[in-house]
Amino acid sequence: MSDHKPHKPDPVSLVLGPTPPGPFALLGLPATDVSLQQVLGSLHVRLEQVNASPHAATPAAEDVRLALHAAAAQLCDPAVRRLLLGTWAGDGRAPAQGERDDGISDRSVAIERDLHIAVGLSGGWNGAAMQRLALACEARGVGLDELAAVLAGLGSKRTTTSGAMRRVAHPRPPTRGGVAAAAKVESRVPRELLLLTGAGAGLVVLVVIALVMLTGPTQETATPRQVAEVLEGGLRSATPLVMEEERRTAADMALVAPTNDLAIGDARTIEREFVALATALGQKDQQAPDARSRFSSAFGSFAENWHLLRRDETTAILSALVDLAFAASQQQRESELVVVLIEPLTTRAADRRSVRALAAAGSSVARLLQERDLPRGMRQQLETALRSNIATSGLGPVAKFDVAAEQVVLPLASALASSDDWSSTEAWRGFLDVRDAALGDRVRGKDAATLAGLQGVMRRGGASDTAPDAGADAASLLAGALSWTKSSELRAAVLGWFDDPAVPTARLAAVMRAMVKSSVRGVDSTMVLAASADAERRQELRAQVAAALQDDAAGPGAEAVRAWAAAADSLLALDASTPESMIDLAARLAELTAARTAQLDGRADEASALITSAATPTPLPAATKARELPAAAASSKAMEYLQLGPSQSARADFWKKAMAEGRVPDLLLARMAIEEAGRGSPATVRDAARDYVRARFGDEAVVLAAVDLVFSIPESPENLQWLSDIAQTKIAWRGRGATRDAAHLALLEAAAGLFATRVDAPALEAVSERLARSWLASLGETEGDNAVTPTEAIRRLTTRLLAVQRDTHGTHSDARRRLEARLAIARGTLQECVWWQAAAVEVIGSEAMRRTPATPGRAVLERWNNDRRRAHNAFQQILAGERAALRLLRAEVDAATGGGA
Amino acid sequence: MKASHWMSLIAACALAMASQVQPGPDAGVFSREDIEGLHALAPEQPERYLELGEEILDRPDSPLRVEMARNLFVRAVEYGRLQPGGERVAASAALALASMSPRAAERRWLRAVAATLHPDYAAPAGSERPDPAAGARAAELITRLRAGEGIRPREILGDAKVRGELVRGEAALSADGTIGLTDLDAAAKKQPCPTCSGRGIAVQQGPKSAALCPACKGRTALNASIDDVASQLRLQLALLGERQDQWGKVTESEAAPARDPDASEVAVVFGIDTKLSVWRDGQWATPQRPGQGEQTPTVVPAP
Repeated sequence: MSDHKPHKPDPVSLVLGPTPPGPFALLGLPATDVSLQQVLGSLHVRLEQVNASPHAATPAAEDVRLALHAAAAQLCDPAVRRLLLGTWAGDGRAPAQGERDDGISDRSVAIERDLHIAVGLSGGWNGAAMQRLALACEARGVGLDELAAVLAGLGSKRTTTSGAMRRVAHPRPPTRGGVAAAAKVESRVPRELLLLTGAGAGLVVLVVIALVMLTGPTQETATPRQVAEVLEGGLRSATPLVMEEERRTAADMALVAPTNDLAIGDARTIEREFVALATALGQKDQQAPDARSRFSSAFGSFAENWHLLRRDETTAILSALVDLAFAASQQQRESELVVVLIEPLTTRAADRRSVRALAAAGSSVARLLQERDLPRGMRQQLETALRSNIATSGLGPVAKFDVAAEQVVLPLASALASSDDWSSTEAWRGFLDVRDAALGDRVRGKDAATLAGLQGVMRRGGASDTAPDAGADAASLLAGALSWTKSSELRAAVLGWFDDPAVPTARLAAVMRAMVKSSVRGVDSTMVLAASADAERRQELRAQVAAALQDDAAGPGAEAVRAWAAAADSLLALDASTPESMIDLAARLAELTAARTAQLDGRADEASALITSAATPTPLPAATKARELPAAAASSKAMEYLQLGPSQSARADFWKKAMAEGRVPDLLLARMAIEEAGRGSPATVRDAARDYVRARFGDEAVVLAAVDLVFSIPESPENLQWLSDIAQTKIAWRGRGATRDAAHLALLEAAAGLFATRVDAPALEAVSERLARSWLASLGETEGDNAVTPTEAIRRLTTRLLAVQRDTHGTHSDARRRLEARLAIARGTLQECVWWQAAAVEVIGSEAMRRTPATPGRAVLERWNNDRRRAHNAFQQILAGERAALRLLRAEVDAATGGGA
Repeated sequence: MKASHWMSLIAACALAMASQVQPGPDAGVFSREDIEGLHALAPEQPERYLELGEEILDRPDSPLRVEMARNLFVRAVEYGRLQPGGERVAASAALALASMSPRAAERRWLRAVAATLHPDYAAPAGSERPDPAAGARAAELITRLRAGEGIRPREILGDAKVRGELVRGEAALSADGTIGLTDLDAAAKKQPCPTCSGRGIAVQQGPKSAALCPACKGRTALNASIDDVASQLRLQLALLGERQDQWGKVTESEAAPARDPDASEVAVVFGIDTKLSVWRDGQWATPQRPGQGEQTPTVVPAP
């Protein structure tokens, strides 16, 4: 079959005629150190040419516009421009320092450049772009009037040439790939600007007004005052470092990212700054004396702006940060990095910026901790800092920044609610920034975190009769940020506030106003509580709110409840005897618990699917073969080898023959082979032994011998290669000492994979994955791209239950305390899972009894306590926990229906 | 069961028997104030048990005094937890017991008990975090012992921080708890095998005579089974800071039932009959009930 593909004409040649390759040629510029004005001027000219082309309205022209904008964006950046010059200039000469023309004498050009970057970074002309542009203008000292004038000027420049721009753009399928996507959104800028400016100066004014007004309740930084505050805050955080900073040399300056690009959170600038710092630290002749202040600026920009970045951008930045951490550690300068990284964790998060920085620092540290080769001292400092902050204390090593950020949201809400800044709307705005960036469109997760924060705010302090209530504004903000999707949690929380006389009326009134504003069905403007409302009015309103929130939450009909109860009875009657069957049954019980939660929340379809799923056991993979510990054999070929004496050829031939025959070594021969591979002499013998151990890489005796003898094998890059082959993972050379530790760890993991795997591992992994999914289902979540362990899943579920639900005393403080004490003595992931689950069961019990007081919850919990104590292993304890959770809900249904289900 | 564990068992029995010895008032161990304090004890006042225990422990110049203090702390936990408002006393007593315990696992458990009794006694986060550097050396030690080395392991075992890490992970040194820190000490002393220098092959009369070592037979002094080795490997990874979350790899000891830090189990664990709550005639007795004299048991429980 031929793989010939039809020839696709080059769009640039088609639209602009024959054009040499490279960004300079594409823009019609000489490959020299062109100025910013030249770049933007050429861009305009080229766009005019495209618009004037007969192909102006074709996809090819669109591609060319994309390419032009991408090229202009590259050349706008001095650092990238210098790199490109090295590639495209005839003599490969980079411009000398001092020749640069980045002073940006023309402010309008600078603003235009910021506009390009802001729109490109923000995925189009949206709230985030406005926010970025406002930040950039503020940093340049550009006022809104001047911005409006510049935008008007920009528009008029282009309207003279834009006949084709008014044509309807061809719809294009979404492209994958960062550069193309970024270029595509940049290409929309002039079109939209033209439309705006083409409509006259009035529209330009609207743009400016939009800049201030159009950002939503969670993105309100576009006002000049807030912009100034943000920037001032950024400078303030860097001040102590700047004071210590030595004056930069001209060479240093060349590597420093443009300050304004950092101020607006340009992901590429931040990433490049990390890379440049890593490079500078890696060059022994360069001391990089200002590394700390530069890192402070770059990380400060990231911490400030991460919520505006795309996930691929945060991933790239964190990757560069990891490299920087290793580069710093190799120069024993990691402490400078650590100080900056942990600063937001150890200072008070009292405003929007510092709350975002806290989340960024916690998530970055969690990502760094994932690096197993991190120097121990650095790891210890980072772990200590992470644990020192209540919002991040639950974080552990994670593979992705975004995953850590997700995990921070809920604890952050609880931490803020219990902090001295619980009533600070600015701090809560920061929380909402973090929430929206981390959880995206996951409404249930966002609501749960927001509700947790609101719970804390509603019950903090107390308002005096005379002073205005301190928490009303925060309550209003958080209530306004809820989706008000009805759920049992939401209903219980709101009614709980009405029931609790300690909750100030002003805060309840704020919540009611938010409900009215959110158009919650059954709630209208007559239901807003007056500040002077008495207890009677409060109870009256409670009944109305209860009815309004009951609407959907009452969801399941009698038939659905009966189906659920029948399924529960059926599963509760089953028993299990092996670890895998216990966890399988626990997973199915957990599915029914999740189904009941879904019913109570009005998610009937999901509940039905879970009930159906729970009826089917997991197909269990076969057990693996039991392994034996390699031992020394009395007839070991190692003796035969020793008897060969010093003959080089005989010894080399021995290993060649062993490899050819596929000889399975006993422990003594394996050790002999490892010793010869590591230290054998001469090289012919050593190489032959290495070939043999490489060929036997999965052999238990070889792996065990390699682990046990790793401390006697000389550290060398050559030895590292065959050790990597045995460990089945690349062991990087990190200098003497550190390399051996890395090899030890890699070989231990390989050996644990062989010897520390249970015979029932395949089945146990399968059922534990199902259990994790079941617990996530109770949260209304799915695994997505990031698989979670059952322990992580139940940790998330319990954390949410503890944060969102409240017992009669307002908090589950006893349950929390018990949990912490139990976790302190838990050994390993399984026991930790038992205790997280136990806390969840306790909360479910108290909630069931609160919702339906007739529920015989105490009897169920007592039975569970006895079962848990009598259990022979942790698997049985987990099964007992799931039984108890389901029994509680089943008993509640009986209590509510009088046994009718 | 290994020899060292028989020795541990015998030692424990001897200690238990010794603890049956009654610390009588004329033993010269307790002062007049101590005796008066003992006679004044009543379970409705758990704080008195705690205070007297602390006073007696102020002069720990006799094993009997130490044992009596421990006894009093256990009773303070038990009576305190049952007394309304006595949780703080019970928690303090649990912490006092923890400070006396030579075993890390027991200390952790008692501190957890204290935390469940009263919120003020919750340990600050990370208060007993592992030492990564010592953990790495502990992991190296186990590898070297498995390799048959002795000299370097003895050096490493001389480091108190390493020993602390090993005590913390002691339960994972074997699959069934039969290998302890003392076994590591013993193995390090025995190794390397004097006959084969730890290689497992004896070459007493030149290479041509190479044969399996008649002394060690190619085995290390730890004599670990495959389950023990599996447990050790996971412990080593944990000592190196690697979390192991896959359930398919948990060892039997990791799958053991999770033990609740339950204050009601303190007296059971320490083997003290708390029904005998008052001190009369040099021994613990049941308190007097209306119309009854105080009852003394025929066997005096451990002080």
